Amino acid sequence: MRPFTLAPIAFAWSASELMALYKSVAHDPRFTRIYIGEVVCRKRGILSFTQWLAIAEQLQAAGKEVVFSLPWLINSASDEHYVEKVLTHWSGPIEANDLTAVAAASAASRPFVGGNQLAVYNSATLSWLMGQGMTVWSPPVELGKAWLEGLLANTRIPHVELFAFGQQMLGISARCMHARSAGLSRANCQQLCLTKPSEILKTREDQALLVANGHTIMSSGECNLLALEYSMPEYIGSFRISLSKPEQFAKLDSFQRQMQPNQVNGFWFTKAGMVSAMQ
Amino acid sequence: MEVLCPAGSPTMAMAAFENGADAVYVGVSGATNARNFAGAGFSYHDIEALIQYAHQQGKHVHLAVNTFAKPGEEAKWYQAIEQAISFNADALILADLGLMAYARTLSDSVVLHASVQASATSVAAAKMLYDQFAIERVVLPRVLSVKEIARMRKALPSALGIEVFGFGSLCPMVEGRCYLSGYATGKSPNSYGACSPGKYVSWQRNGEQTDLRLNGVLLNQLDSNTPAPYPTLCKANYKNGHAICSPESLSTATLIDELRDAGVCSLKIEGRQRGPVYAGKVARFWRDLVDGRCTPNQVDQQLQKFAEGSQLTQGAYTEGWR
Repeated sequence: MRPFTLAPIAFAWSASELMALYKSVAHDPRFTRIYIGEVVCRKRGILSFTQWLAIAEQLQAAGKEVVFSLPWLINSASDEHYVEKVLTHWSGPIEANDLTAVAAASAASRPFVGGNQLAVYNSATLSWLMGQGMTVWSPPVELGKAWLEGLLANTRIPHVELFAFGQQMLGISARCMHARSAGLSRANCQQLCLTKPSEILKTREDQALLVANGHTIMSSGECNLLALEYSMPEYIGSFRISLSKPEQFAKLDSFQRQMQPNQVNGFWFTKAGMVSAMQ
Repeated sequence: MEVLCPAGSPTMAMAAFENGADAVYVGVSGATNARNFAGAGFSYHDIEALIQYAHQQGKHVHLAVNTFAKPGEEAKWYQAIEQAISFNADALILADLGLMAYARTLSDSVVLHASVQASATSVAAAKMLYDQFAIERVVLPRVLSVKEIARMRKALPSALGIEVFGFGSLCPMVEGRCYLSGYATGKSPNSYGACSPGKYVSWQRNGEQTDLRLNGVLLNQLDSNTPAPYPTLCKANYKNGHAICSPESLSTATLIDELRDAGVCSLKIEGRQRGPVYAGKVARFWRDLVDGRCTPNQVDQQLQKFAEGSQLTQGAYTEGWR
């Protein structure tokens, strides 16, 4: 089995849930690389920057590689200051999901992980980013096996970390859909996401399609490529696991054994992401 | 301030120019640009002829090659870039970092604009593209407030122009990083050059209603009085209503003075797929607005007829929408 990596938690877990997760994963030999940091909305304020650094220290002491994930959307002066703060106080690798983070890592000559949301679709772009310091690449979730094989056929290959489990991030807005569900704006959100669960967007035929998570839209279906481990190409170096709920952590073994209802894998087979396709 | 209009055909480009557009943006038929729709792309022959005509009139033509090159088919994207250079296009609109690098290997002087699909949402991002690829303009994603645009203008080199969307269909998600269309259809703007491609859209009568579906997913149930929204997941009417975004179009007419004060050099009008009547009328409204011949409210009144759901919004430019 390939090593697991733990994606940053995108949903608004409580501080105690986060602490418990990182404590468990620190001693779980399946996991080698752990991503930390609040990536969706810093207004959540669940853990302070100092607390994140303390978690990083504990994970490092347990022998894990720790990567600090920068916010997924950086569109204000405050966001840009935060990026500077992370790079000043954190000396390890960072995860970049937008060009701001790439620019910051490159300017500071720091190695970085290219996250799923960087628009890397061909070898020219991959090579350019590797030239800027990208050492690990997690391809966009919409790229399937056929596209990746074409992309990696004639190029220097970084460590490829495949998004293999979890709800997929499908879009980010300036608008907070979570606040909108209660008729509030993002500026006056009253930190609703800390008390009100994320809203599932169901069609009028009751198809659970998407989940509104702050200002991001996630898939309702959990992507599960773990169950396809036996057929994974050699260039996939690790499996990225993205947890939506704490209880999923204990179920990873069963997800590896087989697909569950509500799990999807369409993108991997160059189909609609929402479907569950056979190989 | 430049009025930059969409052109999906030579007739559309002429309509825009005749009604006061300073420049038009076009794409080659196919997947090399983000309007891979039937009838929204040009042949190379028509692009060359349009550029010659425009230059005689003192107008500009920008060529959008703003999707991401597909492995094994890079030659299509490279050809579009090479042709733009040989035709002397006034700008190449690129989103793919690899293509920006490729364009610079061919020419130091070709004018590069970072497409909205490049998703440069900050000073650092835009500055990196300026430093690395000498882009001359950045088209800002629709996730920035006017205040943030003004801040970016002050912080960026003066040789780097800022273009924003003035009017048209509103993407509520940051461009270049949206996979919603792919989740429903397997085809996305980044991987295919189109959001919600037409072949996946169906309109079915269902008693008194019409069901609008995207690859089988029910997006909307419309009665005869409801204006048809775009068939996208972001504008769908879920059980929880329009939980992401109502059917509405972006208009910055009432923000024109603020955008000018913020240092925006160009207003982009969306809609290469919408035909010559749209291009001509919308070009005229914006020309008159920019030149002070009409008021923002007068323009918005006219634009409403062309707006999705007949609704206009200032989108993320102001706090209310967020």
